[in-house]
Amino acid sequence: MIRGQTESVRTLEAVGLESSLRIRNFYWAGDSFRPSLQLGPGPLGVLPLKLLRGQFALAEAADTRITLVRDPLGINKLFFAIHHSGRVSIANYLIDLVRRGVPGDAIYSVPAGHCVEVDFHRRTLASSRYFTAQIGDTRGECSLADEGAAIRGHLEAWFTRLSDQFHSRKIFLCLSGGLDSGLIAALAARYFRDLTAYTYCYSQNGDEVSEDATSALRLARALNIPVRLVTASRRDVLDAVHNALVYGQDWRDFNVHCAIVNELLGRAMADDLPRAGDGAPALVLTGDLMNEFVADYSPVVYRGQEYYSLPKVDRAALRRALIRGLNAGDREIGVFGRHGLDVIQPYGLLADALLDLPTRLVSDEDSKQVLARSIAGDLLPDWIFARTKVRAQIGTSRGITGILPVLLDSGRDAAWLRSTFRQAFGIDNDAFLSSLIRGGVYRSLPMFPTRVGTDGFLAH
Amino acid sequence: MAFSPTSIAEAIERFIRTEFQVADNDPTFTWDAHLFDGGFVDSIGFVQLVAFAESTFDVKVDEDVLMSEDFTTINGISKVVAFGSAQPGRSSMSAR
Repeated sequence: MIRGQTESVRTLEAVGLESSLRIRNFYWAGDSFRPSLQLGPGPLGVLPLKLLRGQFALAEAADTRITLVRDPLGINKLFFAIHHSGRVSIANYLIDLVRRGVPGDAIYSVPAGHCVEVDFHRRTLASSRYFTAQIGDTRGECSLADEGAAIRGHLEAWFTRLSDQFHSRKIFLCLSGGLDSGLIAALAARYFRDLTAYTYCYSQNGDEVSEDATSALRLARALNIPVRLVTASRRDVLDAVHNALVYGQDWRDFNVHCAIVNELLGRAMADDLPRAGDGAPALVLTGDLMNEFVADYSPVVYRGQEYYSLPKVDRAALRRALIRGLNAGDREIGVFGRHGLDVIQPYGLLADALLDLPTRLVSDEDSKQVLARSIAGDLLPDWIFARTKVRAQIGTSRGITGILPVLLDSGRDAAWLRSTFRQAFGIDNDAFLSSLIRGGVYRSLPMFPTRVGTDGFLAH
Repeated sequence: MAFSPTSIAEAIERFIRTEFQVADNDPTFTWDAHLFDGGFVDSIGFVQLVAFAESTFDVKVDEDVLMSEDFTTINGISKVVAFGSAQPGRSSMSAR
């Protein structure tokens, strides 16, 4: 059942919960499930928390208590603010709380995989973890081939469920030209009929097609998927920055630059929807999250300066840090959601299996290719496994083009992004940002706040 | 093995000085200095610091703890880690 947002807000306000949630939840518990995309608080009281998986931000009010639960990886965001009157304002977007008049220092987040219970009568706040991301580094003998086969099985099962549930929807697929989205495209082509791939391409003159986009077009042809090339000029990129910051809910360049790509794709998808004419809602599928699960990121050097730096830790710690880092930043769900587009990230649906991959299996330079081939060697053309990995916001392996240089060369560096983010959210104090996101995690609330601001919101 | 707050603080101080090039004669770098507001540790450095604490003292730091005021100073981190290292199982540490 999909509930209307207005109804949810009215029902909840009577018991002290003021909801601005507008990202649909997609969750299940255990094996007997039939997940659907829902807007609204969710039936928390009947869900076994430890078994709960998916992408969701759930809330429930009963008597004097408010319960807030966020998905295991922190895919959906859940911010809240406590008013001294007993009202708790909740939102997926920070900006929605700011627009409701909540000051920044009274806004907190439910950490990923946590349940937060606020009891106004007792004036207590309890935050408990119901999910811990366990990386399978203590597992015994196993091989990439076996793991790949198992992951393929999980993916097939999930695509069967997704096609059962969403067969009437238009499927918009984010296709970068790389392995992760390519695999999702190959499966989507087998399970969905109404499917269109969207590929971003930076092109100042409107006539060049980047290496990544060329690969995406070629793959779409091979898979017989209609493809829409979303060409963006320098001006288009710069125009997308504001929404990338606000709805991507982060100022850090690695997230903002990705959010810009998604903002441009989201605009194109939203523009195309009315033209499709049949009124069917869209569902966006992306190839995100695999890079976090296997720590497949590397810094980029531009004009002698390193960008997208990574912490100098061993690969297992890097995997944990990147997975923990999903907690903050909303470059996919939040950015597409701003355009009214629902998003499902299929790799996130098999998070348990991907977390369970031992780090030693994904530590070599070519591990990703070997794993991808073992998952989908029969689905994808050979040439795609041999491609050099390219970041979507760069677009080519032959130099640095696209979003990174466009922003830097126009003065929109890390400091500018930080400052512009502060302005967008009305945050006066720059130091506050260091407490808003720390170590890849949004600020949370350890205990019932006691300091009452002039506006009546409570802060710690 | 449980670690004392002092031994943890000394190790963390050494780690920060080495990794983030804090000068030996910097008078503002104390065990009570705010590591982030003071500019001693940035967001990437924080991840390294957490990884260092987890691997060196065999603890797992919960998100709640990361965001607590305790986890902003060497003294605070040492207190939290010492408490965590004394717990059986050491699965994760809560901020409360």
